[in-house]
Amino acid sequence: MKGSRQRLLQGSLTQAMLAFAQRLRADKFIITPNHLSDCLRAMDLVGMASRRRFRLMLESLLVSNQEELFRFREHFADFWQDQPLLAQDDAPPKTLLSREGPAAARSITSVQMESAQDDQRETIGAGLEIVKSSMDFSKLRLEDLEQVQSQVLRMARKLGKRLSRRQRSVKRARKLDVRRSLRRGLQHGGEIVAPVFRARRQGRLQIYALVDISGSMAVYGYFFLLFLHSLQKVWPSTQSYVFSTHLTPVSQHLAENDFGRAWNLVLASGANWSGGTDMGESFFDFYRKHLRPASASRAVVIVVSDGWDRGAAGRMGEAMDLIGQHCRRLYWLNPLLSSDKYEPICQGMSQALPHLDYFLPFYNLKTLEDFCHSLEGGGDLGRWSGSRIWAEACEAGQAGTTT
Amino acid sequence: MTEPDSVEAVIQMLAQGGYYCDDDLAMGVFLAIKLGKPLFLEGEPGVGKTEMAKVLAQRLGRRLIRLQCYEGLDISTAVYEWNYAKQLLSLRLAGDAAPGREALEDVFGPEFLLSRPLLDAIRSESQGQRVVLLIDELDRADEEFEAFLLELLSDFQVTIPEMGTVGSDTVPLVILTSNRTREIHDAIKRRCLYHWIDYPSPEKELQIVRAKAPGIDERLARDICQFMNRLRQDDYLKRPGVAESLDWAQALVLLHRDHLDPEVVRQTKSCLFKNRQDLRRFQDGIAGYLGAGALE
Repeated sequence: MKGSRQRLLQGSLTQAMLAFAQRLRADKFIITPNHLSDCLRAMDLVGMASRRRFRLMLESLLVSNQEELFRFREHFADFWQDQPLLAQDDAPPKTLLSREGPAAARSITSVQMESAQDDQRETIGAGLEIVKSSMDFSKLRLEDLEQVQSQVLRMARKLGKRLSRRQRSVKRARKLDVRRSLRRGLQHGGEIVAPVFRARRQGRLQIYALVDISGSMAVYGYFFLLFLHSLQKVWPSTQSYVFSTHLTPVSQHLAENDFGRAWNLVLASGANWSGGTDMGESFFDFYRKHLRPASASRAVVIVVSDGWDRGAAGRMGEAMDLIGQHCRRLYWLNPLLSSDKYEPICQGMSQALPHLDYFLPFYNLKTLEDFCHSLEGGGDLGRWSGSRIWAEACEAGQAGTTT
Repeated sequence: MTEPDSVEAVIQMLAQGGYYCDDDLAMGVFLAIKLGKPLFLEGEPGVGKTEMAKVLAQRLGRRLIRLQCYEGLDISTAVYEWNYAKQLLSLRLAGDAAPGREALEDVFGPEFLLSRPLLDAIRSESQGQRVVLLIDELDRADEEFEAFLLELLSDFQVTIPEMGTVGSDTVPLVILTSNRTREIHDAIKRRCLYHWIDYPSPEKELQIVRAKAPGIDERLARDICQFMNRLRQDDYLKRPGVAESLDWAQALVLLHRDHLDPEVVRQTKSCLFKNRQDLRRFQDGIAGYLGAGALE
């Protein structure tokens, strides 16, 4: 009798578990059949006496990072609250949690692009077939996207190839590789016929990119992420982050093959789009949690932002100072440099400038190419040296005071 | 030692080893033991991820095999390597006595194989010696190494081209840790149970301090834990973890203190922070942490 009741409960529980898994999958959790069978086995082990224990058990099995943990708890509370834990009903999955932030941001991007498109029609006309590399990203038309994408991809591939060539171009510092020499010698009965040498590998660049995706930067952020998406394919160690009020790692989303899908994942990743930009805090967060000290000598940090910081005064300068000390090169790409009249006088920018190695424009394909070139170590960038621009601005009495 | 058969038993077992945890972590450990799945632990530095594996191995009576990850870690340091010098010597010896061909087939045998931690774990298991395998700070290793781990974590076997596949019937208890300086690939996490270790509550930390700094004054221990709790709510570059609390507690015991005052905090601040910016900020805030009602 007890056995059959148990079976009945197990049956309905399995159904409820399946429905719960459906719901989690809809929110981009990766739940495989293996996970489910583990869950069912674990239920037997842990028992169903305590709701908390049941939740902890599912957490261990189904969650794979801290962000997911919070979302999981929401889903859990919502799903298992409405019904008694062992209820018979077949628990239809609920609708997805609405995500206003990303949705709003998505519309921002499309609205900006649409309106830009109208401007474009007036000035350039509809018959344009080739996107010029000097055209500002914000003036691109939606149908040009594909063409730009392929150009960006080509650029990233080229960069990846050049970066990896760096390790092979070693001329000196040769050392006998005893292990390999002996091993090769085995073929000749232990005689070392051709010794093998070992050359010091030039450190691989570790690229970190921090992209501003607040309202004013949405279009440029989109294009830089597009570039990162391609770069990550040829240079897999690239780490990408987006920030507005806080910093969110997005490398995993960018690993998606299709950029459209990757972009949607970035939008849904919980980054706060509508709020102001707190750069100081985001950069501190980056320094504290993500910048690996071991890679400092090989690290290249790239910030893509217009520098409009709403955070506490002074924090930004401190953070940039720290990051600057712990990387080989620190880049800042600013779309506002498209205008000759632009002066870096806003609070965030003027604090960051003295710590930058390079302060470069980024608003069209040409500037992106220049940036790639400088990343490979080429090009004369004296003109774009951050500290030099800062010194000039100070002389002109335009830069704010820094900490 | 017998395996724990409930979450409570896990909590109790770890507590006997001086490791105090909540039922959420205990649940992860319990399921890892019972389901034979690796346990992936993430958390800030110094919250006791590595310590957990050590205590677990000790309490389960298993051998602890530790693989510390670093950039450039490769198969020959993590899994196996051939003992070239020995191979060469035996080739020379064999060359004098017998035809070389036979000897050549022999030099890729188990006696010429140097086991590194991962192979060591699998071989120990196949010989009936249970192990706890700790793969520490996986976020420091390269992506290539992560990809290699995929085979190991799903099948617990290693393929050596010259010799064949080495596997075992039983599965080692695998603990992976990460400080989260970068995201670990989803494919790894999917094969593991996941747990995020947070800073302990002041009550839990008090238990830990009492256990790890024997002879500490009760009031001092309580002061330290509350002080640390306040400290962690502030935004330091490197927030002090439990490891720092313990260093500090032990230092204060050595100094024969029975309570905290601004003077002693200032003198011993180097136990808590290892960074100029943080030290400066802390120095300015000491009064606030000790201030009215702070330690009541």
